[in-house]
Amino acid sequence: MNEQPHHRPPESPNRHPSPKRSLRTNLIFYVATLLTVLGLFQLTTAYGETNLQAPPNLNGRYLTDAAAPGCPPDSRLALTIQQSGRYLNAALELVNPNAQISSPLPPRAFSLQGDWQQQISLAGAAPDLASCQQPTDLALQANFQAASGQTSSPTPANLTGQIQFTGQNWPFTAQQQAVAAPTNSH
Amino acid sequence: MSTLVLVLFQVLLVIGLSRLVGLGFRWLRQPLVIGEIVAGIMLGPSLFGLLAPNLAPALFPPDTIPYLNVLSQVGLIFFMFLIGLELNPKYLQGQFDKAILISHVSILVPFSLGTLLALLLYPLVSNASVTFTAFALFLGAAMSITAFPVLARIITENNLQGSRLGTLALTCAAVDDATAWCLLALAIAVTRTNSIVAALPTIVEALVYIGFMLTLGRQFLKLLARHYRRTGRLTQSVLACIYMGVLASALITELIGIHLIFGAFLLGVAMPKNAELTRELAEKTEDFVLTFLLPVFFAYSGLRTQIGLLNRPVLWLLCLAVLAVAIGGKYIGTYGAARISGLPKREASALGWLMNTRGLTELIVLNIGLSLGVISPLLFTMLVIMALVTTFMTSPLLEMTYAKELIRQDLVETADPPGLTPDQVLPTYRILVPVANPQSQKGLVHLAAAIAGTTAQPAVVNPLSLIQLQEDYAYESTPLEADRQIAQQQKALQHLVEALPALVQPFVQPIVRVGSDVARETVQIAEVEQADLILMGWHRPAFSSNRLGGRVGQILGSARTDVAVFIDRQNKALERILLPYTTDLHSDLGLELALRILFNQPDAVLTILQVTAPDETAAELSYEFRGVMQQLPSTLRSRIQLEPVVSLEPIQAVVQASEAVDLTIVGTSREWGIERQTLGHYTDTLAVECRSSLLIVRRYSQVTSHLASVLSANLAAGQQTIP
Repeated sequence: MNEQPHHRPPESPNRHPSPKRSLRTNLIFYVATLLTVLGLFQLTTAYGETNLQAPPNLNGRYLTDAAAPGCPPDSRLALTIQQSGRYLNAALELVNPNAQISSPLPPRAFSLQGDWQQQISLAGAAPDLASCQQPTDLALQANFQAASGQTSSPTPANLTGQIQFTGQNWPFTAQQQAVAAPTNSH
Repeated sequence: MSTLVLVLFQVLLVIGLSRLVGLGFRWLRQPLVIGEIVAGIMLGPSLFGLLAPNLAPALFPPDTIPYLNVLSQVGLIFFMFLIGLELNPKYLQGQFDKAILISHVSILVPFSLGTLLALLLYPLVSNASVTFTAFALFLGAAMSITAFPVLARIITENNLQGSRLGTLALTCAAVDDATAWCLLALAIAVTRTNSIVAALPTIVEALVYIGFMLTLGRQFLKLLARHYRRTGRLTQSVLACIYMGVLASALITELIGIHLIFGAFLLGVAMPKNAELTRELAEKTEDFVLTFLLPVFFAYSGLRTQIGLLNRPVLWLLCLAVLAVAIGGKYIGTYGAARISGLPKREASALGWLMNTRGLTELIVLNIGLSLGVISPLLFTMLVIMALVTTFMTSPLLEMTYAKELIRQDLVETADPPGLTPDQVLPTYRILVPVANPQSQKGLVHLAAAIAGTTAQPAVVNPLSLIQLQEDYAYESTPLEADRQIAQQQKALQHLVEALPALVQPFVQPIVRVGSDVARETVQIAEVEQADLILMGWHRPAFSSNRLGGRVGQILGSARTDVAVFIDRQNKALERILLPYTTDLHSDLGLELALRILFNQPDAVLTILQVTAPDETAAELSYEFRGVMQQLPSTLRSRIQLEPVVSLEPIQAVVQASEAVDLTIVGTSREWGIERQTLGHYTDTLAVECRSSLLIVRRYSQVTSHLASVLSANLAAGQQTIP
């Protein structure tokens, strides 16, 4: 128990500038900050709009139009790309072209990883290709051509490139099937 | 399984898991809502999808997602209505000029840093379907958010709502929140039209609507308040009209081109702030919204959060960059502005951490961004992580920098008798009395007053009432409501004080605070206030349980102060006291307290019972005991008698002797069957059978003396002690 009587600690000294001066100082500071920020924003957006380029929207599912060598004749290759800006995750499957698009692939299916540097570069495993008597580790490079044309007869986006295995190269041409761009909805 | 059945099952799962995880986070002393957000993320691909890749899509197939979306949007609309309802202009009263400066700087700095960060992030994690302007605007807005609802709860739970820091933080957050929503509206308009210029019509329409709601709309709604005052209750018809208004307002803002939620928020803000009307409206709306609809929103958001997307080290680095900009921007901006406004360093720092809380509001903003396509799922996930981390760190950081000091300041003002000038000596003896129920614990406070007394030294009795906010996220835990409950409890305690003898009343100072963990708060307050004794009451609920459960047990276990537990038999008098004696420190404490009572009540008498077994010789009284007895003045010694009793059963001897007294004081020693911590399984006997009121004392500190001032006061008064 405290036998010493204890006193209240002294209050921290408060600055009391004259109200008028502090209001004016605050106002000046405030307006200056606001103008600086607006100016900064203008500069930044101007710079960004002209100099910065984001990768095109690569999201979607691309289907080849012919069977790949060594694979069952009624099969096609389907490349599903999940884009996070420059960084790409993808899944390469063997599918029946007439089959309905099944539910979205689970995260584990995206076994190919790569990025976009003016072209798509992916590497990884595609377990489906085991039924084509091919090794399942591969690398894929492709050029991207965005969709174009009139709304009445649009040309879908397509990829042109090649798939590389150890000791073998396959040509790869595919057209975008599902439009995966997000809609302006909720 | 039909879609409807599946959706209902999903909602069942969501509600259950949200509650569970939310309560888990509560236990970690974090806001419940953070737990609910985490539960939502757990149900998505980040955890559930990872652990059960086949079950997860079966349980949450894509065709059920739109239904969840609808439910979550409805929940959001009404939640924003509740937020607007709680935004009371009263919060803006405190230190408005400082708050405007601080809150606007605390938006502008993170906003600027966010736009600079956009320069880094745009080429890396965005794609060309979004313009840079929209992206930068959105990222800036996301960085500048402060979650007013979560902040308000944190402040209430730390009892800061009355302090300077608390009112300033609330005002800043309110202004900040409103400004950030406006920024978001701008960002949405720009995103939808792809340039600032094209968004001008939308902006103008929005401003017109806001103006309308805050002027004409408000007038119209005032009629509602008048109607309520007349009828005294909120009928379902009126409620229906209000809900229709919420939806109509939401639709209008959606048509204008900003989001649904703004309309709902605006209507909430425009509602007349008649306290009863607001409370009743909030209570009727919030239960369903908060327990059913809002968790669905969190689940919907969680299903879109894919932590698995951060599968490269560089992405985690970017996430850290986002975190650093968010925390740094807010903290530095707030700290700088607060220091310029004249706040001391600690307060400015605490304010900086408080304003960093982003929680729920950020999640709403991010979901809108993701739906509009402004941010990709990767950036969405990074920002969700940022929101969670910043909210998670607020409470611990606040405690570290500020809370204890503030409690001290706060208590200094309320816990001491009023009218003390700084030169006057403060009380040197303090008893803290946790009071659960002011009506039934008069005896407890009476006893405390008798022990403390005022003749020996300046002493203070602090009856302590802690308000536990049951519902974590409801209207009742907003700062204004908490203040109202505190005022109510203070009145109840005041009644209690007025029932005490007039001499004692000035020295009984009730303390009422908000506290989520009663035992912890009590122990903390006892330490901060340097209380000499904690005196609690113990009712006898179910005696079948042998342990002294609940609060009393917890306090006994964790208090670093001497503790006494009072079992009241509703004797009004405190004149005849019995002290069974053993040679241990607890009995010595009991003796000291008994002597204090003797000193303060001139009519009281003390009987010291010495129980010996038939074949033993009477144990010698301890050295300390004899020393104390020798120092006592004769007026005291004459009222003490020693009663040796021979018996095989000490407890029964005590019980018998208690027949003739008003109060039995017993130390927590095994002798009387009472363990130090738990009041073990012998307690039953003594506590049940003791005929008088029982005071069980437990000494913590060997150094504390409850008697020194009594004895020295005697010396000072010139009383002779017989050597």
